[in-house]
Amino acid sequence: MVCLTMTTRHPRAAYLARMTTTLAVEVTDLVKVYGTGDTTVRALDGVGVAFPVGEFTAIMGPSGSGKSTLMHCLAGLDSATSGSVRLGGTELTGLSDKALTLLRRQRVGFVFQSFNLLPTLTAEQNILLPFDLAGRKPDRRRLAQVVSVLGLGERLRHTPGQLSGGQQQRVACARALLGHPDVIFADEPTGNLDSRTGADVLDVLRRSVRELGQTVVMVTHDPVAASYADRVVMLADGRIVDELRHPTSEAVLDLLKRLGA
Amino acid sequence: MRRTALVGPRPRRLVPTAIAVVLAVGFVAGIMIFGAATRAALLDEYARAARNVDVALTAAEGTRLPLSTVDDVGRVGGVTAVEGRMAEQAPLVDRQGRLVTEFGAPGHAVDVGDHPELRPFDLRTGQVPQADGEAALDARTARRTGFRVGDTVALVGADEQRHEFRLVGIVDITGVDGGNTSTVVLTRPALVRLTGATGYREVVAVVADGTVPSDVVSRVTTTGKVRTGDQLRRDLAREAFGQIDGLLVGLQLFAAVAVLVAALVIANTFNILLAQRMRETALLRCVGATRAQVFRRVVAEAAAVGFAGATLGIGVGLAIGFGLSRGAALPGIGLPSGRLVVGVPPVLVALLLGVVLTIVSALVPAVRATRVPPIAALRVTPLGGGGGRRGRVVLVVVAAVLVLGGAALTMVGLRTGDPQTAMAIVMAGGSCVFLAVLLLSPLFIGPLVSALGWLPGLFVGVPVRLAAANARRNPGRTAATTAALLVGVALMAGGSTIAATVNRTAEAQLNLAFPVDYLLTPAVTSGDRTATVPPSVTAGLRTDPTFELVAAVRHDTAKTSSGALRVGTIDEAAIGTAYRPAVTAGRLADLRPGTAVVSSGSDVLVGRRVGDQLRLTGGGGRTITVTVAATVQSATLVGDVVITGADFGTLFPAAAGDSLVMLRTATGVSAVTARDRLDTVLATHPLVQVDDLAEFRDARNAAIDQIVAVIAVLLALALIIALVGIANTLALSVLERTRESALLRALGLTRGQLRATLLAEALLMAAAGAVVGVTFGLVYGWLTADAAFGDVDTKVAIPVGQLAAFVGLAALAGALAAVLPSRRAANAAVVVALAD
Repeated sequence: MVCLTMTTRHPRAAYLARMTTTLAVEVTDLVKVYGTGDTTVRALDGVGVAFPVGEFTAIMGPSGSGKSTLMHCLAGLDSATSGSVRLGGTELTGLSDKALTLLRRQRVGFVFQSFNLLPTLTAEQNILLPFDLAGRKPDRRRLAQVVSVLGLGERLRHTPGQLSGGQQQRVACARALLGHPDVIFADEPTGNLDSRTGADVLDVLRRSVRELGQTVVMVTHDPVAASYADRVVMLADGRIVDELRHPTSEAVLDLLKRLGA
Repeated sequence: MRRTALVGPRPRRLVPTAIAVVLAVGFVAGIMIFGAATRAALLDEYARAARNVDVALTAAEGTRLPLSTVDDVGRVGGVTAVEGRMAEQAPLVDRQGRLVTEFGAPGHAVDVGDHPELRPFDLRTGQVPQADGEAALDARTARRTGFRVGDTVALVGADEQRHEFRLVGIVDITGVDGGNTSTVVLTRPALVRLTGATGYREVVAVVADGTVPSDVVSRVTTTGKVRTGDQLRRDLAREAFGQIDGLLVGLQLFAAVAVLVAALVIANTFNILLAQRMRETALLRCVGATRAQVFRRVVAEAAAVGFAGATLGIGVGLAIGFGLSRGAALPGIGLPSGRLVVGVPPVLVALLLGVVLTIVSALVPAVRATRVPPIAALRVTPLGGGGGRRGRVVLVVVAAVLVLGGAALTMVGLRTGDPQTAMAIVMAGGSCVFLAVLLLSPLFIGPLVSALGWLPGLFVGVPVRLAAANARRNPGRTAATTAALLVGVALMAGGSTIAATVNRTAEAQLNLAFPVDYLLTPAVTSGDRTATVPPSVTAGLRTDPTFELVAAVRHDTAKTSSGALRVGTIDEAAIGTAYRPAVTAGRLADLRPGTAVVSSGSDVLVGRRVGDQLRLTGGGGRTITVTVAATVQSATLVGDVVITGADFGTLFPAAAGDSLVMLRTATGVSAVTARDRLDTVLATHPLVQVDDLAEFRDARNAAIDQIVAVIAVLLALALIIALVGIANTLALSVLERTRESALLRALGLTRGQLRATLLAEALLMAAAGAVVGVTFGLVYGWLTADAAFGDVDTKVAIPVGQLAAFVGLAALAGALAAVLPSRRAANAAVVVALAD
């Protein structure tokens, strides 16, 4: 949909276009407070950040920096205390649970660290689950394409119990990709994988951005994983503290060290 | 260890177990409380007849003690007071002029006696009859007929005429012969004049202080039976308890079902709880807990829950006891209701039952918990459940043996002659098959749930498909959950199928044999002479245009070489019309002098074929030999052997009047007109009893419906426990699937869809239990009814409405069970659940 507009010739024009109209997600002054009275925790303390269409962004930060909370708010899983979240032009603040659910179903893809799949469904049924929930028919051609890109052709009839950890994460990626959502949120997608299968999964995410024009936002604490992204956003104590373009794992590590993480 | 067990990790999860215990214990305790109270009340009632009595002489069946007995006993040393008690049949006539009968039996009159302290009754209102024109009536009949003190009542005397008395009192008294028949108290002269009494039924005496009653007993000579007051009281108590013991056995069966269902629910709960707590258990083992300690921990937990549940169950038992006692006092049963007292035995039994039931049910899960290896604490994914291949093979083999054995027993039962034995054998076979069904249910419950979910899945979509998948995930658990429901539904379905089939078959038999509207029978069958409908009544009706068919039946008992049987005859014109039995061989039209129609259903006549000779010996030793002209399916009201009127006259020359008269109303005459006409004709013959077959059918249908309703109400308790079981399984499954639900919610499952998923899961489990239960109940209900009827052509009746109601009830139970768990699941915050 929106990604098709990416075929702009001039890089400067493309950049401008992204800056003005084609932001996948944009947050301003986002505050999230947990608890009351003495136990109050400001998990997010005035976060403002934008995620352009067709970009792979990694959100990093030390434990407790608020990166998971930020992702939950961005994805409509949790509601902020104040501030605004716009996802593909829709303001999430104030939406009902039902509206948020439908929005997630149609416009957001998820890849979690673990427990991504329903154990009772086959790989194919898991991939098609968001379509089933919405009562929509998937595009069979796109399904075949996604499945072959991810190398899952042989595994479609298997249940999650019969798949390796890497395969399970790739099934989750396929599910996220199939509906061509406005944005895919990946929460520590390689956290439970060895480095080689982890690299496979990260490669899938990066290729989806490069080749399919997908927007991906990934939360991670692994500098190597972050190095696959186009940009790293650094979070500490609920605020954006730094940003890194075209990161390498060394650069990310240096930045983390400077932040004292 | 004990502390951890008692505090428990999450005591709230044991609440459903406690509820199952409360209900099962409540039912058992309630029955005990009801039984004790009713026994006490019955004892009180029966004890009236033995109050203050030290010695009692009772006349032998059908005889009376001579009037001189009172003086004879009075002369025995030590006796201070003697009372002769008369009791004779004296039918009461109600306000409409019809006889007051209880199951066809008319009531009695007793005399007021000379000694107030030896009266067998208590005055409730008014006064005791003092003049010959006064009478007192028992309270039960007074309530039924609406007679009050001051009314005029009529009794039919030995002269078959009505005699009027003024009602002066209402009394509490047990019916003569222990029944609920009407009892009227008269002065002795009035009683003698009315009934022609020549002696006493019973003579009772009081002895002086210091005299041993048994000494007096040994010195009394009489033709009757002599007992001490204590012996009399013991015998009366036995008689009293006979009235309720059958009912109590039935109730105890239901209690057993409730306990069984509770055991299933408890075992399932503990299985799930311990599966969820596996890592915790493994951790305990890691830090040094022995297997015995793990075992004791579970057992202690079970005991605590059982004890708590039982304590509450006693309260519930009191409520159930109250309800039962109210129910038993209804006119249909008519038991006296006593004061409810919670004695020590119900409390002890309740506590013991609660604790033992819970521990025994938790035993297998507890043993399984001890097998959790310490290493399980370190594993991320829980171990898959499952008995393994060998366990499954053993299961199938055991089930196959049970099915084969059950089927064999059923076949044997269906071929057994005696209905009672046949029913018992078929039921035993059914129990075997049922056990096999329960054992095998983990294997077929999955496919069944899928099949049930297939159609709704097409329309409702994801929730139903997810629900079916969830229900299949752990077949053992789903099977155990549905089993609890299955038991109740199967029994309900079986009971109602039996009732419907019995009703329809009986109706068919009745219609087949007697397409008539009224039966006239003599109301009184006194000892020596066989009572009959007076010939004048039959003659009068024959000329009455109100009735198009008047068929008189005469029957009596004759002897054959293989035993006694009933021989009868019916007007020739009625053969093929009023008398129309199902013929198995030969032709009814071949009945002529020297031949007979015999029932192949009679034990004495088994194996008789058309053409066989039958030698009958009648009254006064007269003998005739008849040839079998036809065989019919079952004995009818006419008799096991039907012969012509001429042959009957030869066989029983003394017979006068008709044993039975069948009437069919002429077309165009309304039922009310016909009945009015009949009542007019019979006004001068009050001892003729009228059976209105339409009324009779209605009454029987109502009675059968009532039985089905009572069974359903009692089994509903099992259903409630099963409901708790479903809710429990669902709640624990929801807990187990917190992250899964969160994932689904993140991916776009709405709250409504999540609730629908859980509702569908509960409904599918309930439906699976209901489908299997109804199928089983239907098949075995029919087989049992078939066995009960023996040779008679059983007409299968499927009580569609009732069965649908039971399935609906099961579905409702499932839906109710899903309410709380689904609310909890849907309200969980997605983010929190994801992080769980």
